Amino acid sequence: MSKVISEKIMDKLAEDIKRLVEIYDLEKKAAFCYQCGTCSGSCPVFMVQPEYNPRKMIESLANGTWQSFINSEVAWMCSMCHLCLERCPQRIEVSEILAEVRNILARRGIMPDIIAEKLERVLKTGISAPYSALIDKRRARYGLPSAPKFDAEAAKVIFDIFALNHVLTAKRSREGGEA
Amino acid sequence: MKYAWFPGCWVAFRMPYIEKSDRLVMKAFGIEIEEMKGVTCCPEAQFMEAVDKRAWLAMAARNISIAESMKLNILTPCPGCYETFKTTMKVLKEDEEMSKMIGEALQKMGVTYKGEVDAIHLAGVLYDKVGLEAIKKAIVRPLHGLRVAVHYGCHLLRPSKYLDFDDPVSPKKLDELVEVTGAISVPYMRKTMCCGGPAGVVNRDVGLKILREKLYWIKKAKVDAIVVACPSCFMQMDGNQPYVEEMFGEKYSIPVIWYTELLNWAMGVDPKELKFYHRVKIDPVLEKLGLL
Repeated sequence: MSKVISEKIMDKLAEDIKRLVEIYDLEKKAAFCYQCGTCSGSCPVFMVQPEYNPRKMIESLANGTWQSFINSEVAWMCSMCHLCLERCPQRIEVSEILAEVRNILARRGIMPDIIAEKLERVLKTGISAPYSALIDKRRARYGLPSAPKFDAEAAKVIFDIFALNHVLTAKRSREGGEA
Repeated sequence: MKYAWFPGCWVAFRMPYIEKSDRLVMKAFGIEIEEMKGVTCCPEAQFMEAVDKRAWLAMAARNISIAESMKLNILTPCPGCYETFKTTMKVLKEDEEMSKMIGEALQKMGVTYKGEVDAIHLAGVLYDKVGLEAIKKAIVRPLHGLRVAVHYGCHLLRPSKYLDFDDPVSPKKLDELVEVTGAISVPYMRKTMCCGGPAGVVNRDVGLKILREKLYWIKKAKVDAIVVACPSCFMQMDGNQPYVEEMFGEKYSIPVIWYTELLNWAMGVDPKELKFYHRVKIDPVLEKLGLL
């Protein structure tokens, strides 16, 4: 199967990105930052992997040069512990803003494989964790009733509404034309 | 006290012993639960909020609407699910633009979201609804002398504009739930720092390095065990501890205990009956308590 992305999907993705940039208004949200670095100083990821630097990413958003990190997966390193958001003296919601950045990255197909795998699992089974009916045998040994049955059909409808299949297509096309 | 039960995928599929332990405690304090039918993934913020915030909120709102039709508040043992539901409730209540977008999506699914129910984590029910006094009365085997490092994890606490369990940077409720058993909650550095679990999903080394930072300070506090209230933190701190030891050539061997597991011990339940799996052996803890 060819992974070359159709023009129609490309257009739709570009339109989605434009819309998300508009909704999230990232430049404005970052504008109040005075670069004190409390976010990076609080960040557990930055502590061990300084290439993930929330202060610098917020700076790039504020001055409109976010192309500097929008082509890499670095923004996906966030652990979402939200300490940056709680501690920012300017009340900039750093972790939420960077999650919105990743929404845009996802539409460009820039995301780690594991994230795409989780998305695919939700689409197929309704949940992100690997599921097997055998779990009920294990649960029974703990005196527990059967595990919840997940509604994959409902997940599929939500995927359609927000065109998440296109996100997966964009991701696959980044991996090259291989099946 | 009756709630709509949303165990979440970690507890229901990966760690059924947590569910057993939690259910024992719920039964002891008269907390009733009813299964939610037709749910989907909560879904997990770490990937779904990051991929598409609108889809994250819409899928969560659909789950919440199921609890609404049951006329019950949601109870979950998972801080991840708790965060997803609480965030969705608050955003749909206060963010007009986002609420309109999600509303349109829900309409397409034939789902009505009314915003009439709340979500609560089991630790919140125990602290705020059952109360320390009632729990204290149920303690038949105090865990005197046991020194523990309480690890809250992130998603019980933050973002505090959505969550209401406790203070986002200096919480106390889980410490008190632990101390009511007679154990001592020992202060340590970087207490509210992340365990590294979610970061490790994307980059394993980063996750292990963050965990090492936690373990370093916990070891300095000279504790017998770490106590957690998040299944993902449990998996990270217990399951990945040997990998940190391997990666850095260091030795930690700090047992990790689920908070209701500890509570059950103090309430007279035989540790063997709970059938927990611990990668880091908890025998030294049980020996100290005379429960081996």
